[in-house]
Amino acid sequence: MKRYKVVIVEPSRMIADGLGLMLSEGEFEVVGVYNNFQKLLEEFSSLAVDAVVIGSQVVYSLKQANMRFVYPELQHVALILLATTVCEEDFIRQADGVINIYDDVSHIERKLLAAIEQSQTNPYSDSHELSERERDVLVLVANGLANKEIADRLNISIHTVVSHRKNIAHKTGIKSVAGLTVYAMLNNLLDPADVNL
Amino acid sequence: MTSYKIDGNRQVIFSEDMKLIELIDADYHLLSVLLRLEIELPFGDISVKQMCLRYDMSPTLFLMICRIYSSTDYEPDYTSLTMDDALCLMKYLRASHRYYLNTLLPRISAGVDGVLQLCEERQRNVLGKFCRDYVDEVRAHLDYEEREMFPYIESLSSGKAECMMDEFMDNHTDICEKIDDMKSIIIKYLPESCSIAQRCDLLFDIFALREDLVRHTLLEMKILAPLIKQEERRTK
Repeated sequence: MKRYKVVIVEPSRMIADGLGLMLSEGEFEVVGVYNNFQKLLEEFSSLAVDAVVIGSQVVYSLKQANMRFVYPELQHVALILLATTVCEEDFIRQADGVINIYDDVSHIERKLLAAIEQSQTNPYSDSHELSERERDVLVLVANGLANKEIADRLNISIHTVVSHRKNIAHKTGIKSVAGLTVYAMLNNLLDPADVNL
Repeated sequence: MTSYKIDGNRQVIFSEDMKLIELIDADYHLLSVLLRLEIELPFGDISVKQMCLRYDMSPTLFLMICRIYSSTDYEPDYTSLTMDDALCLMKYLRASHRYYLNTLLPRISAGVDGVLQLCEERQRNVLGKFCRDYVDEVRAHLDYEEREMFPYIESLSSGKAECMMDEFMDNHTDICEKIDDMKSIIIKYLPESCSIAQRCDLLFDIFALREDLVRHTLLEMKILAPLIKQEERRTK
């Protein structure tokens, strides 16, 4: 079974497709290959990815000293730098892992897995505050609604619900429905009368 | 100065010739392994091999259990183990169950009651219920293994084969997720009226239970289940 969803952002078609092929043979599902970053951002919320592999030229062209601050979408995914050129220290520091075009397959897989696991086991990321939308989703989760019902109720896609739920779990450090209900109660997001205690 | 040997990755090298005192020096958590195997103190200067002979246990299995506890990425090779080892491992797992049920879970329940004393009633109710539900869930999980899985393994060892191990593993629920949630709630969200000392004591118990449950699950998934399935194929 494919365990993790990955996208690749790299202008060289040869490198991007080659890497995509290598990863697809392992535990990864490559859900998108983009030749520039903006295209990825447009579709990002619907993808629910675990890792973004980003070419060093792309990072360089963005000129951001702190990508995650500028693009909060990236806060809860593993960011892996694909070193196709010489990389500046600043970029390397922002990445959860660096892969080199000369690395062998097992090496690349290991680095990717380590980066994903690290990004997923650290719920204490930059922003703890739930967004308004995340609160809406949380309340419905705590009330026992399934993802499909939440999507219908809020008029959003199931993918978006899943991605909100991922963010909620990252921010609160709580995954189970029962635990989220406790969180919602402690933060006065729920009326106790609504919850079956 | 350490008396035990370490490899290039600074991992302890566990071996049959190691003295028990070195084993414990290397990782004192292994005392709980010895406790559950009912190995008596003091051990003087006996080695792992001598201890295993004395207690009629395979050193291979014993060292596997120790490595599972001490290293997170250890992959045990179960193929050299026998049904006697499976029974011995089961005895160990049963002892772990007793330790959870009789010691850790009651301590956690009491700890939760303690920290909640100073909370508002509403918060006390909601968190109290979450913890009670979790304890019930763990009890049910362990009870299922005691009632269904362990007797099956015993009957397999006496020659009856029904190939049920896959079914047991499918029913094997994740009991680590909610304890993580409990940890996050107590660290991050419990109102400040709760005493920090009580909260820390409770967290030490929660972390201890979590770490042990992770090891417990690894012993079941990486040694017991594949070993039993190997036996099922052999006797079919």
